[in-house]
Amino acid sequence: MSGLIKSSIARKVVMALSGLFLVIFLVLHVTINLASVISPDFFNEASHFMGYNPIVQFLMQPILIAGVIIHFVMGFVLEIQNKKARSVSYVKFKGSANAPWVSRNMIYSGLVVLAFLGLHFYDFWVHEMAYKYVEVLPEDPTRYYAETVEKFAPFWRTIIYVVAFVLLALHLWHGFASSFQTMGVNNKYSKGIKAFTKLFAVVVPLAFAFIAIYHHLNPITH
Amino acid sequence: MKLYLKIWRQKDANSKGAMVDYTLNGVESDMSFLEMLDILNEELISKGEEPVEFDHDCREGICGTCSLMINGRPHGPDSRITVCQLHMRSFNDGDEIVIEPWRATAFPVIKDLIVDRTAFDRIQQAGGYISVNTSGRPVDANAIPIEKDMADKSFNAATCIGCGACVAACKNASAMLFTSAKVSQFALLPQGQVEAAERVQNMVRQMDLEGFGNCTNTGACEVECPKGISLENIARMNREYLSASVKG
Amino acid sequence: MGILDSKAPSGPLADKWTKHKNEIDLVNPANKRNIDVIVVGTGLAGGSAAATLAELGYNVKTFCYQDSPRRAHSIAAQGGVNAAKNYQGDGDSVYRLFYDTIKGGDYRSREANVYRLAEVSTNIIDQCVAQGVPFAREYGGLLDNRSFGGVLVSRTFYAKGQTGQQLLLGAYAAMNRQIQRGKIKSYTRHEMLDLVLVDGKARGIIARNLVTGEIERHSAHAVVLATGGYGNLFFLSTYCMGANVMAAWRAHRRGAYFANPCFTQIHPTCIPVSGDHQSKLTLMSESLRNDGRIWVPKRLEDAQAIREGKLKPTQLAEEERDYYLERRYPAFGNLVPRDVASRAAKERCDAGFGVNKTGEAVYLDFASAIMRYGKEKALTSGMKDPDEKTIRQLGEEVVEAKYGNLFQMYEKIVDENPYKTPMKIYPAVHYTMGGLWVDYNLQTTIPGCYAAGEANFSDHGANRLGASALMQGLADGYFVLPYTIGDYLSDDIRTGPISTDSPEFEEAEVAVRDRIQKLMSGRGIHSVDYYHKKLGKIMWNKCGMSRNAKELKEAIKEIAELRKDFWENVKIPGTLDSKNQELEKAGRVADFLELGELFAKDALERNESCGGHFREEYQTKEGEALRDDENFKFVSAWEYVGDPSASKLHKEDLVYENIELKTRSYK
Repeated sequence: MSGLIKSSIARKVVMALSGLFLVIFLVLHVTINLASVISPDFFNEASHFMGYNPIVQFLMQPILIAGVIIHFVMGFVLEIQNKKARSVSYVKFKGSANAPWVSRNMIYSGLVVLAFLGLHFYDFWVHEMAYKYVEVLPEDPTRYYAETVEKFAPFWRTIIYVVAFVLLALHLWHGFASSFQTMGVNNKYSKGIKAFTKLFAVVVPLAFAFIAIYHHLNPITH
Repeated sequence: MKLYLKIWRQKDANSKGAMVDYTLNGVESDMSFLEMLDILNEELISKGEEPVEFDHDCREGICGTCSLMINGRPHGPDSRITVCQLHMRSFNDGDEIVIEPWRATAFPVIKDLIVDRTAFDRIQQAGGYISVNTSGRPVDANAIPIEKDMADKSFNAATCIGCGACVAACKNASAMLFTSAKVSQFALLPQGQVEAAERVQNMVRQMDLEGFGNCTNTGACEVECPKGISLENIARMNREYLSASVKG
Repeated sequence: MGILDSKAPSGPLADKWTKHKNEIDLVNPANKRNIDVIVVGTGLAGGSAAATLAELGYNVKTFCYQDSPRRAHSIAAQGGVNAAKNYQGDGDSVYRLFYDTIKGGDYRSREANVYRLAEVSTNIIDQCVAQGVPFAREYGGLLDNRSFGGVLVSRTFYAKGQTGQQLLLGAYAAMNRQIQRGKIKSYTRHEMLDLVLVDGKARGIIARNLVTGEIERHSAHAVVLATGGYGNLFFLSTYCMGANVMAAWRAHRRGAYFANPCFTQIHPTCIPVSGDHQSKLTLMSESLRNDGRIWVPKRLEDAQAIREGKLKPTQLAEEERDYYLERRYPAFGNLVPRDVASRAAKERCDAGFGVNKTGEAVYLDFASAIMRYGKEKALTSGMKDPDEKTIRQLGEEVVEAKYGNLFQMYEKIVDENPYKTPMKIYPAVHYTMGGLWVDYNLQTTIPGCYAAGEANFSDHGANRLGASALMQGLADGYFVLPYTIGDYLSDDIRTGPISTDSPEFEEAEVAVRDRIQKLMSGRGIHSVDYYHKKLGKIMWNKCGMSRNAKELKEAIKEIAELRKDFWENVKIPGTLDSKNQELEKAGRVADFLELGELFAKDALERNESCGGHFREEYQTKEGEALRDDENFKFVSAWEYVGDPSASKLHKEDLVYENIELKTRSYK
């Protein structure tokens, strides 16, 4: 098994599995977020549940954070190895002739998404942690909607979010289907997986972006 | 036609190389690319300069020896061919052509445009065979019928010429397409089953040891492969590797 | 003039090989570990021999000039490999393969060797399938066969148009297994520059590391040369660029007789020469003659109009075309043997019917095959009254499935679509039947020096049938040499390692260094290729598809002069202690310049026409080859005496106990 961890294929599989896990998380995340547009009350309920359910907080959240860390640390490890595999670079290299931009620039789309995650954590997660564990304020199941909408009041934050979602779309455009190839799935279903990837890569980030823009344009008036 | 060539010149493995400019006149469109280089070399020799060294042998697209990066693409702009099959009709009068060796840490430059691809041999030595001794009395060839579809797929994987264009094209200099082609050829045949698990593990281990990069499924290798080896083979190798690892 | 003994075993033909195997000495497994064998060349013959010798337990060192054994030119063989399996049930047998090969070779090969070749041919297929070679299969899952020129059965096994590649990769895989076990040490980018004899026995080689330029000594108890043929003597050929005669020629200069050098195969279906810049010729597999029909215009004026671009071949009606092979040889038609097809093409072009700019091309036309297959396909897919366009399209699909890669290769080179307009083809040098003389054990006249595959002279006589080269290479390497060599090596079990410090190694290394030094000292202005092209022109014009005494004599003189000029003036840039492609080429061309002369002498002394050797003075009224069994039923084996044209002839009489000599007829 130790050989497995050291092998290039195993590392790739780790990358694919953690990526797919994050994809599933994205589905959950976008679903709850959409509620903030449709029904503020439901959004508050769901957010409160996620924020105070011990299984979510003490089991799923650490797993999610681990998934994110594994995905990007492994991404860096692979990228460093890949750079080392070509120590002298070409004077002229026409990558666009044989592979799409998205597949060649996963590290950059990934880095932008990672940087965005920093901001996103600062915006919401750090705030939550402070609310619950530092300031130890009482539970308030009605605060989430207002807090969220307020975050999107500044124009700059909305723009950063939207840009990050575009990069997320590009990342998903290659990454989702690619993870199946890595796990050895390349058969009659591959066409379907690729088509679904493209749909997913557009719809999910678009929904996120829509939510951000919607809240920016529809601030809560006091 | 007249061409402006930029060619990588490097004295030997330990020297530093550089791009050198050459202007070449009188190139005809029905010359092959390598014949164009022959003419350049004739000119250089007549001037007392050292000719450009490049690997080539069969000049009919099957030995896999020729290996040039032309204007940023392995084997040049045309698809499904090797450099020796590329003809000058793919270029125009006045074109600038940049010619470089394959670039990969696992393929060190020997001289000028020649690289050392023995890493590929070592990957094959690690398990790219079926362990059967020569004897006058093996099983009759027709004793094991093989489904035509499987035999054809195995053949398609086996047509790899080991030129290294996949590595050269890959932004990560990964050798997955090459390795998976051999793994697949045997994985698809009943004769290859006995050693299948051991084979894939040994070959992947050697591939990693040689310092090739990791596959990120960009698909560049498949596009540039002169024999059109499919990405399906990489998926098959991943599958074979995972199942071999899980079985222990 | 001496007489050579083939050492072919006595007894009935069919029992000779078995009897021989039972009688020769063996080396026990423990002793094999103490015996080293050098194998030079890693194509089908060398690769398979090295792998099998290593499996048996010998310590093997292999040498090849390529960067990997996998690149040897066996890889380019397209069509297939013959074997008398009779899977098609069409009456094939070991005897019939034997008979076809002897007859195809125009009765100039050794009966016992050819019978053994036919006998082990079936083992080759079994062995290769066991190794995982993906031969073409039928829908039922069994192996498929196709037919080739000069025979009336389907016995050719194939893997699309890449049979040589698949077989070579099989042998390479077998080698890799032994390399991994440490039983083979593989030296790539190494070239053998001399054979070393100690006490009259082959005991090693001098090789140059082509990357560093180092001169190395390697010793062994026996040396196997499997270095292929010498067709590059002609400069333009279907050989790979690096193919050369150096190893064989160095052995020849050390005492190995060179047999039948003038027996050269000119393959009828190659892509014609397009200009002076041409560096090599590309073969279109003989399998194309299964479906393609060869023709030229009937009228001279039509041929002229086509050459001038005023007329297209597709504009000529059936009755305006001359399907000359079908006309001259109704029984075999387009599937006559290669020598016959090549000469017929030359005859038509010489008469002014050639169809490309230079007048040196004939058509290979698939139109009727496309229509025939199209109709068949339409019928089997239940179409009623399909129009011509549909039929043509269906037919093109069938033809594409069969020959797609070859058609694509043609289009890439010529820039014409062979589905729409007939291919243009012309004969080109493709294979050499001549080579180092070997006895039944494949041993040359130097004890301990063996030759296998195309490098030896055996088995194909004066003409080789299609799909027989792969068969012979693998037969020699897998099934013959590894056993017969034991007979010699059994005397060496107590010899111990061979030292490379002996005076003989010293002498050989000094000679090699002197030769390189001399090559590098040329002060002229011309490159190696300049001389090589000149030699090629002499060979093609005067020693090519047809020869006569006057021109052969001229050739001998011209080659000697060219050789002198070469040694004084050839210009080689760079240094001798580094990678230097010009120096590599120079060494090879230097040997071709000697062999060329012997070649012409051999052709001059063989006053008959047989197989690939056609002397204009010896032909029938219809222009067919006129063999002279009374005076030339022998192998010419030449002994080197210092000057190629003074070489001494030794004869091996060919005894036919089982086959009646007949005039070869394909009518």
